[in-house]
Amino acid sequence: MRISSNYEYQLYTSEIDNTTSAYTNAQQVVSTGKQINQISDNPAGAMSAVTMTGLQSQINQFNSNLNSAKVYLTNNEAAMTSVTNLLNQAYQIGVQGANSTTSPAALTNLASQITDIQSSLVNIANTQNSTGQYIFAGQQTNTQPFTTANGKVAYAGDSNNINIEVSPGQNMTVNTPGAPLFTNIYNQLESLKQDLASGSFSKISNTDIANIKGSQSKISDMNGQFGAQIDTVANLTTANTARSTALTSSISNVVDADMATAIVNMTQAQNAYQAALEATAQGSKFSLVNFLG
Amino acid sequence: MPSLSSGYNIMNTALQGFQTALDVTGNNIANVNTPGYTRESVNFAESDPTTFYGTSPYQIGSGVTIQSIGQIRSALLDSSMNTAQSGLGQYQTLANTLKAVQGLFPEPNSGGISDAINGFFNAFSTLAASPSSPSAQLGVQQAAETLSSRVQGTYSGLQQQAQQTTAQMTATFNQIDQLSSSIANLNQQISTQTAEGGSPNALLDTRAQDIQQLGGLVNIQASANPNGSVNIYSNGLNLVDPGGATKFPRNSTPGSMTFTNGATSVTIQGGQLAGLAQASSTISGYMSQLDSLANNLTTQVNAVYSTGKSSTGKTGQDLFVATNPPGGASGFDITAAVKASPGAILSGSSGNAGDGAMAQSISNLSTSSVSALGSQSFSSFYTNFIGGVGTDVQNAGNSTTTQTALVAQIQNQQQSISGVNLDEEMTNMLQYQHGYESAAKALSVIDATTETLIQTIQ
Repeated sequence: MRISSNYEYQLYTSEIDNTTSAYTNAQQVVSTGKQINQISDNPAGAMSAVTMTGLQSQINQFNSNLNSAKVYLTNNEAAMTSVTNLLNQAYQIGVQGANSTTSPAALTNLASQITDIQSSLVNIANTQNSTGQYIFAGQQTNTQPFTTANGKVAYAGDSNNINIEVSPGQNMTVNTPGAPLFTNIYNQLESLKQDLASGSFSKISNTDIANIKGSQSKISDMNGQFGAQIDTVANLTTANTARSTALTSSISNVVDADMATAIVNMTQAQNAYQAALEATAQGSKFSLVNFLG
Repeated sequence: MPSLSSGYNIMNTALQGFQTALDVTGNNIANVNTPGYTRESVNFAESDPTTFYGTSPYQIGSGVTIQSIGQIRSALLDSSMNTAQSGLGQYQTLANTLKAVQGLFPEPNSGGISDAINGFFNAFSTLAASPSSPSAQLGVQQAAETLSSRVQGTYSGLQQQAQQTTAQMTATFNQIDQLSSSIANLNQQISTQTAEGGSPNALLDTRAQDIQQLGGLVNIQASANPNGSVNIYSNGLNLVDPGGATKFPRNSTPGSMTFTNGATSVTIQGGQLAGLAQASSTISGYMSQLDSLANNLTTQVNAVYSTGKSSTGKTGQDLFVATNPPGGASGFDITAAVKASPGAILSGSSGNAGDGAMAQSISNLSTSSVSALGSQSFSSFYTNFIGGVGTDVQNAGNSTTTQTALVAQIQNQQQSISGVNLDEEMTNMLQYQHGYESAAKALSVIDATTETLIQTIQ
């Protein structure tokens, strides 16, 4: 085939252009470490990376929700542990007061200890979390739930639950409305206090101590439930973290370049580029003019 | 009986002929790098012979004459080149425009609308877990603002691209008209010179280049007339004919391939103009997809958000600005009330401080399918949309590669026929040089013979 001199040089130029562009692309893959730098590099791959990124962000959000749930539950658990301690103290006091040999002075002293326990109980029932929300007020989290007057406790909260979505479509209740739980305990303590003051020994041993024992076991059940919930939260968090890690690696498989392959490709492209330069240098040496006298 | 002096004449035509041939070779060498130059060659022919009458009549040639200095070009390749150029013009323009458009979508890297959609629904989930927490409310406000500003920003980027495309179309129309009138002018000069018996090679080269350039702008067909002029047709429109050049119709509905000036309408099929029209229609398709996304986000989110109740019992509030008709992507924004105070962001329908149920319902919209978006979720609608953008860019790029190869191949063939090869010209030069030397030698022999005769007479 007849080749025009101009076209010969055009061919050299276009070959150099092509190999330079391939070399630059291969270099970009190596320097960014990514095989998909823009969607058109691999639309299907880019779409699956975007979808997986969305999924991962949802999973991470669930972990953030789980963390909020854990904070609620551990706050509850800590409060219930304190209540248990108070009930234990009240029980001891009740047992002492039930002994008919106890002197009136000692009974008065015991009754005033119950008053202290009651005020501690109300403090616990008005627990606020780190952002100032009352945790035993139902959904009235901005309102102090418990106030006392004349041996009676009033509840300003409601009976609504606080639910947190911890996995798709699954809500976890993370609160305990303060009433009737704290109100009942308060009233039991009030009755114990009054029976101590009036020295009603049989009522103390027959009714008050039994009531307090009942509350003890109720609180213990609740603590068990919070513990189980905290376990669930921990398990879900671990599973989510594993899924998120797996997604990170799947996204990386799609988007990131395999460095070994990328470097081999770059070297290949570099060789092709060098060859094009070599061909230009060699090919343009020859001309009939060189051989004419 | 031929005279001695006829030898002088014959050698004279030979010397002149070879000298012209050397000139043509020189001109070919001189134009080896001239774009569009078609190599020329000397067409030699024997001069009319003289008849002598001896015992029987005989003829002796009277030397050599130059019939013409021809161009070596293939009309078939020229026409294939026009088609290939219009394909290349179309796809290259489309690919370049769409590549710029793709730059508006940073995915799969972060910082795009898809991240903003995820962030928006996640912020509501956080709010649901900590209702009326100021930091969660601020999170919602910022996520909603990020989402709306990214949608708005992308949309205005698309608008700018669309405007640029329109401006490029105007420039292309101007170029088309300019080239058509240049071809019409050249037609006139060429036909005049042809009628006078000339071969206006330089003008032919210029016209061929103009036609090729015009073919890159819009798909055309050229047909040659006996007087040397060419007619240019584009999709049924006589762009250039013996009457002169016609202006290309410029009016069209955006994105359409049909252009009209009232009287005539042309539906184009190729060239840069087609690429621009296609790009403009593609961009407006992208814009309406973003409009759908924005409008549906506004409706769906507001429908849930308006069930929210404030601590003072107020309901029916919107998160995103709702207008009738819907404001699309350019009007996508959070309401002034939400912008003014993140503390006003609602989380429940009861008005209770600890109620996050409404916020959770909004967060759950992230996975619910929206019938107006082809029963896809917001995220998957958007993912499919940008996947489409990537595929459009990829397809235009592939077509450009194919067309580039096609143009290169035809150019190769064209150059193979019409291009100058220096080695070949050098060989021709040697050939003509030797011809010239031989003719000069023959002349000196004739001269010596004449000299001998004259001396004999003395």
